[in-house]
Amino acid sequence: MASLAPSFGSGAMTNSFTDMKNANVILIGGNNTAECHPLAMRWVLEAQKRGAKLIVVDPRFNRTAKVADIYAPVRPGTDIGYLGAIVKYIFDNKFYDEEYIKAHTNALYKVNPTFAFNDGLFSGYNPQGGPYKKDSWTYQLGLDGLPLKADALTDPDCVLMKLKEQFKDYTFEKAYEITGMPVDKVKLVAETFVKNRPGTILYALGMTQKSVGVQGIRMYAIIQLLLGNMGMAGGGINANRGEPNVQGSTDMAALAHILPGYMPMPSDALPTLNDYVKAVGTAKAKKTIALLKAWYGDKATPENEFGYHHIPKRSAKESAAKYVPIFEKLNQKAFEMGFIFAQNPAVSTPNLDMVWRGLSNLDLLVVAEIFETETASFWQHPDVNPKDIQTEVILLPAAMAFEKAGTMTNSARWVQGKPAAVPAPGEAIPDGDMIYEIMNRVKELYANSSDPKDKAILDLTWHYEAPGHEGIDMEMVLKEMNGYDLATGKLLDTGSQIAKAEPGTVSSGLGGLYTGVITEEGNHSLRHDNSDPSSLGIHPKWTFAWPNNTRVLWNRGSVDKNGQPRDKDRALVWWNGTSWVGNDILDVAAKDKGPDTPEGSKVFSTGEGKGALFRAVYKQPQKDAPELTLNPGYDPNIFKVAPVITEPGIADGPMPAHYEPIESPVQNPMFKQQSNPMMRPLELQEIQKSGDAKDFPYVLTTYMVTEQFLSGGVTRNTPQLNELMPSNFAEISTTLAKKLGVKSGDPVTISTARGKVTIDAMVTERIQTLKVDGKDIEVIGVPWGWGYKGLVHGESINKVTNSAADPNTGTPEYKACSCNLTKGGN
Amino acid sequence: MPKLSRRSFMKFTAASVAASALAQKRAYAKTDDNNKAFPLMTAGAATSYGICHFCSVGCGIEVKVKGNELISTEGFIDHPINQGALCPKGRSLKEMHNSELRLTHPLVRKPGGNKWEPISWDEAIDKIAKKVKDVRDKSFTKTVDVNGNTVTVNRTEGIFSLGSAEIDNEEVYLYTKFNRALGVHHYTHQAEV
Ligand code: SF4
Repeated sequence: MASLAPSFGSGAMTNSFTDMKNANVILIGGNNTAECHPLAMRWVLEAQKRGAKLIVVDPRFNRTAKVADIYAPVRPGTDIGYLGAIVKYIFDNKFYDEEYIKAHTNALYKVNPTFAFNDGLFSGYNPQGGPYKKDSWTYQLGLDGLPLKADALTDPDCVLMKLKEQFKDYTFEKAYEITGMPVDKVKLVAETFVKNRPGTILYALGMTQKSVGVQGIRMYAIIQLLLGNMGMAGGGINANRGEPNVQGSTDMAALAHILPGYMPMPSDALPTLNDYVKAVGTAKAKKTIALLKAWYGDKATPENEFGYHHIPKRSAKESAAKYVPIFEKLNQKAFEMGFIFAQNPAVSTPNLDMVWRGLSNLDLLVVAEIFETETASFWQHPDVNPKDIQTEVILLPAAMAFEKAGTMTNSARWVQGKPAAVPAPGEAIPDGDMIYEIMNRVKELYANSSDPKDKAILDLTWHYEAPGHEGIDMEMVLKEMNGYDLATGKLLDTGSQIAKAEPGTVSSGLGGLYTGVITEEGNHSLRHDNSDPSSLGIHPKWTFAWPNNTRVLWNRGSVDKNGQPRDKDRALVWWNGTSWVGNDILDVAAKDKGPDTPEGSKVFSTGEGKGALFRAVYKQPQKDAPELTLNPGYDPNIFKVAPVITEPGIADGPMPAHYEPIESPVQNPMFKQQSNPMMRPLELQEIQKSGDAKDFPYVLTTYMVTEQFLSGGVTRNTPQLNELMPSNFAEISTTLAKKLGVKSGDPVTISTARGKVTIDAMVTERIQTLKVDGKDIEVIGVPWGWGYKGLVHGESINKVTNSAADPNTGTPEYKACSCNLTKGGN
Repeated sequence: MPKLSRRSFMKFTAASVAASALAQKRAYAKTDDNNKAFPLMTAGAATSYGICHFCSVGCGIEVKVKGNELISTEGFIDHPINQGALCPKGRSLKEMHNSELRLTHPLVRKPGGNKWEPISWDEAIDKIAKKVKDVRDKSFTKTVDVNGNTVTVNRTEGIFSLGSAEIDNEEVYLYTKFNRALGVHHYTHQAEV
């Protein structure tokens, strides 16, 4: 994920659900585990049974808070305020793990002396707008291009001191002023989390759906690095993701800025493959070439840059995020045709008017679904006349999970396979087969073309039929993803084979990310051996975890400088004198290199090989790069001269800072800079409106309930769940209810600059009036997955939420916007 | 390329039934519930395996099948995470398969129309493929000028694609491959929001 990768080198839940029992303290901030990931809660409770302390930070006293040892309220969107106080507390008391941060983070690296941070703005800010100029967000480099290291952690130039300086004003009192979390609570949370190690942190959309989503999670990364919790059983950062296969779909890069396996998408700033290798580094470029070999087979040659130009190049000037921009562009009539597979944006998009109006500008919309959704039936929206909508909609019936063979990747990176258990109803087929058939038909239409632009389609490898299969054989697809040694035709065993191979001699549709999932030995995604010899919840033979079946990421961090476990009861890997062995598979470091060598001591896969307390812009240089003149396009010698790994930095700063949500009733207590200065300007002035606190004095936040899943496309069609959760509600505090004369069950109207919805009130103690900066702040909470299709209906709160988004990920700020609430219907 | 016809869909269905017959052979438990006075609902059912299709915890599910019907979805005892337990959503999954509300045939809503009408798979795929070619050819950008240099970009501007975190890995992989080969660069899904 966009926040963990700059800190550690790649981004995903670092440990696993079954590992949580090993924690001595668990901080849940931005995830209502009991409600939204109920069986993950099993392992939180197991930890608690074994003596761990559970801390829950949330605007509401939710179901998870109910069983917490410490519950602390927080104003939506302000987490960096209290997390900053934890960082200051660690510094003030020197509670950081000195050996760990010296060895495994960039704490000692000297920062460019021109780097600065003033009143909420980093050096390189352009008041005329546009991105930060990042040339001061760098290290002081030696002649070899490597960062200079300070002699001591007290050197004012070093990263650690920059970090200390950045958070020096985040006192417990300041944290209270920002977040509304009482001073003694901030202190208790800080003490409890810092003094019990290992500790783990759980988050989900409660952390990402903010205009400072990435920086909030960077706070988690910084805290866990300082405390030496990364790579430990019972430590790490456990991102509990949303949909059943969102980890998998992220790995498969259903995103604008990456290719499957997390290699950067080519852009128009990188006209040739040589340019691409130079920009992304040799490590990732080798993976991209393996992907091109999987996609274009023998047609991918050094002469045609392995088909580099068959893949569209995104515009380097445009935002890498695409979700909100797609709906903006729809309203600007930029598209004639759209595909929407298994997604319901007509409920899940903020500022829903963008969707209603936008989709009706299409000629043809293709939707693949299990049930009829609001998206497929956008032309049935109660406020429109279908006659006025000229869009043709084709709705394709899809098979559901039990009706098709395939794999899904859970949040903990476990790639789990399953067979087809029942036939799909009627003519429904798997989404994969639909895509397969459409591409086949498109290939037929282009069959006689000699236009070079159509080579991307005609040369594409697309053969997934096997004898005995009607429809496609998903295992053939999995094999392509896993990859082959092209000389022997054998399936690859590990991703490191791609790193070692000559580019063009190996293939892998995921650049090696899942390599090992299916080998000559068999399909590991189907393994059902649940044994756990270490009793640490590793289950090494249960299905397969990427990368390389490693269950705890960065686990080389769990040992001391002699390569022995720092915590004997939580031993993951260790050096036995000749190689690394253990209960888990060693991550990142070289298996046969001792703990005192550079290759054997590497914990993280960032450009520096260190955990990034400060996310500098950096390129790891090639050792002993020769002076060479390269042939244009692609020259294999590029791999001798290009940097190995490059770190492009984070859009909104190398370290976090507290900014207010885009709509907020509070003046930023920290700086003159009110909100994230890197916000992408919104395109549709008549739809994407912004409101003022004087008209919209309350804070609106949204979430999910156990029984209604996400947009409700499935669960609102499931009678037994609808019996449990038949309608939507708006949670309001007893104070506000009294003030407005509202009782539970009364309809209330929630309005923002973007419109109004009517929902029944639920007056509750679970939300308390917060004191912020001397003012009373009321928070309104509304579950979001409602619409007008399915068996139960309700107005969707996303009609009024804000489409302003995090500048790195494009994730909109669903979790905090300004609203008003009045008694009675709309 | 085999044309999708009603006949091939019948075969498709037959293949899935074969899969469920396979599952039957692999049944984990043999019961003699039939001897009881009140046989269990699951008596005589084939057992297969599934993964919960809701949240990302990835609970294992024991799936019991009789004919085309899913008769029970219970937590898979051996799964290391859920150890036989499920939340209400996981428990409800059999309804997702059995529901009368499932989409069973391709449908089309014509421009300005106020209802869904049936369309054959063949016709639907044909319409989609032709429109892809038409829009792609019309809206294709081969090169752009970047600071005076002509850069090959091969972008299709007129098509966007969304989805999905709700389908299997192999399927999203194919979807990404499909979109990139077409030149689609307005492409994202649930993970971004
Ligand atoms: S059963 Fe519940 S907790 Fe388990 S994966 Fe399904 S939704 Fe998640």
